[in-house]
Amino acid sequence: MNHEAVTASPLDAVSVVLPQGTSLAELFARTPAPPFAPDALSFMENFSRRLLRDPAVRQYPELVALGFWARAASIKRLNVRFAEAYPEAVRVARGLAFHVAPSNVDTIFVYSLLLSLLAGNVNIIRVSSRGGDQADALMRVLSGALEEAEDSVRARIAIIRYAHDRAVTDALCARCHIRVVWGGDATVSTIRQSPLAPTGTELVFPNKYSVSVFDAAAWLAADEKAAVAKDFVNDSLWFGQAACSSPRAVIWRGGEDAANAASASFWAEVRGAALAANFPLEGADAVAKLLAEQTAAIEVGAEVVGGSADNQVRVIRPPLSRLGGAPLASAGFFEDYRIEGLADLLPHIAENWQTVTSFGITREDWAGFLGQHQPRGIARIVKPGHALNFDSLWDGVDLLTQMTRLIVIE
Amino acid sequence: MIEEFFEHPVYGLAKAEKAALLGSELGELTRHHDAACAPYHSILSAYPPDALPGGSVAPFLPVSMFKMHSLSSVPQDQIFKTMTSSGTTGQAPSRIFLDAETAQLQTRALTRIVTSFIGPKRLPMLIIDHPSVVKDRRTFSARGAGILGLMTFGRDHRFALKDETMELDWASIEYFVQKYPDSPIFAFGFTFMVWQHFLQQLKAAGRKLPFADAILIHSGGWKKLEAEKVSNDIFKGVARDVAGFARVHNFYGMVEQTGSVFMECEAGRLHAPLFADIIIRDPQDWRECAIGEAGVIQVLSVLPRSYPGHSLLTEDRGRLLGEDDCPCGRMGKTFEVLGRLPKAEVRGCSDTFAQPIPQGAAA
Repeated sequence: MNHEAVTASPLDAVSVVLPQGTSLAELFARTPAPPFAPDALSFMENFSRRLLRDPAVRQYPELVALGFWARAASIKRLNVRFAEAYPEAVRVARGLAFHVAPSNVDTIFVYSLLLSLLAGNVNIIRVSSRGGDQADALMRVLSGALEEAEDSVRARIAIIRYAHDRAVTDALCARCHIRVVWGGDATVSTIRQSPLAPTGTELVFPNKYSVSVFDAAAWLAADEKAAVAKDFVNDSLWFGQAACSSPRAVIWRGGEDAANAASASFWAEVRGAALAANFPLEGADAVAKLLAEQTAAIEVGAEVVGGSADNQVRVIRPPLSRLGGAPLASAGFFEDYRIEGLADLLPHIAENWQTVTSFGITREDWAGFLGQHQPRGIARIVKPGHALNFDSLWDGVDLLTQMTRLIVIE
Repeated sequence: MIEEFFEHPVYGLAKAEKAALLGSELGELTRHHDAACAPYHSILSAYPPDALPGGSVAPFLPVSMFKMHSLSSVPQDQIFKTMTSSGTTGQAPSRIFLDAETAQLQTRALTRIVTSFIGPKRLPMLIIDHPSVVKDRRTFSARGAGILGLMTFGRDHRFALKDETMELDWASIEYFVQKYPDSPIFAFGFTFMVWQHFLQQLKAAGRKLPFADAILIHSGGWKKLEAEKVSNDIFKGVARDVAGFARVHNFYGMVEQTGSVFMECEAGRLHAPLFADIIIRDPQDWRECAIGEAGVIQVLSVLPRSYPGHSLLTEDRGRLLGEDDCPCGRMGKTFEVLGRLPKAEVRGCSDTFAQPIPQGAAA
């Protein structure tokens, strides 16, 4: 390593947040570890334990979910799946991974880091400078776990911050073997202006669109309406409806009468659940939803559903042709549609469709539809309440597989 | 009938009488725009009849609707003037279409309001801006329109600033000082311009202007001054000490409801004139807030005929201070503006590298 070249580089503008005292120059010189290395596993176990034990973390369900995800038992299942996947190949880390975290889903960068650490990679993670109590709590736990980690683990991690600076991004992209870009279309486009090395690879997570598909008759017959409504509220309102997997639309499968009855009963339950959950509603969000519903009225003749003067949950009913269009507002703004059968979805499903929260539609129905029509989008179909659960199979990609290389021995 | 509004004193009607007059005129306007403006009709028809935001007499549109859609209630050939808001960076400006009738009503209403504060006599007028903002008279910026609107209340106009450099035009100022020492003059400018480019430059130059009983009217929002911790009291103090403005009146208004502005009285309260009303709305459910309760400001005006802007929800926070009980003696609702609604924190898988859209000052 040419020390002078490094000190004169744009990377001087980078500040390493964690672990303290780490320099990027040292990190570039590290060799990766094998996948599921014992030092990484014990670090994750300790991190998970610290997270679940921390009293400040309990008020943040996302952090609790992260703690459960990182538990030894759950990582062991990942290990089994990983080990069984390509028995004919030796699996090795890619090398240096450069992660760009989204600004405000505080946990995403940790999932990205932990998976890449399991893969064996050396990791540089650019986090946003915008903080918050939840981000602070997460950083504190991570910092504590890193302090207790083996040197060899600490040496494979640098969490960094830098102001938007093309020269820094260029330097990191040129050096990394894989870059992982979270944060939407604009971030992906911006980062892609910085070339990778010819052998470099990338995982990108552009803007996504997610919906709920409910069977009208199944909803009307359901005993657990209140619980499902609560799950739906968590899926959609927890991140102000801005998470990739938060539903933007609810699509009723069934005849007109059943769909109308189901829709009326569903939104009444959802309003009740939203009220009980007591998510804060900013004045600016209420005004944005007013603008959105009136814009939809002018542009596509949408109706505003329900007589309730409740700005937490606003629902419009546009013609089916609008399904899949860019969201007009967030923080509790929903579109309500009806289809006769799943095949009616086909013209609207684009590459950006990610999560379908499904209720009352069987696995066979979905598998039949997907198999027959091969839609261009949809990455996962989950139950209400599971939309925000992170998994190493994400956006149609097995992240661990992508973060490693396969060496075939014939 | 709109003419009835010009037969009463502009701050003279008590609550019940004003409500009856205003309610019937606003209801009339809602029916007029519903019949004459197709997009407005689409908006009203989208709601169940009992769930129109703000009620069925005068349901409100968000003021930013005029940035996204061209809303007009008159045929194209009757539009004789299009006004645009100065436009926040990164946003489309509002476009407001005026026919002769609406433009005339705006002028007449503004005259009633302003002359009730400065008197019927035209005073020598110093405009705290530079002349080029009023050059193109067919497409008015909000700033240009505001200045032109107020210019009719003065005579012997001079611009206090030279050009885009915002340097003081000392020749104009000397002319006023020589010609009108110790006499009342009238000045108008935008709040930030007055503070930054007029009062601060005078202060820096060590000059005190010798006017007596001079009147300053200003508007445009406090956002930038709040950032510099300049309160209305500080503003007034400096305006008095440096430039001899004994009477300083802020007003709240917007290009979407030109004419029916809300003037600040001697007691420091903003007043709804007869042509207009103010309702504070709870963002949770748009219910009407009580006096003293902070919420989102809804503005109503009986003037807009050529575009459906008679009932608008702003993006400003405010609070009612009273009704028919201001120490200044004027009737009607009084209120204060508490600034822009704070932008909601962006959560979600949002863009780390997307540039934030800067917020503009209140219109």
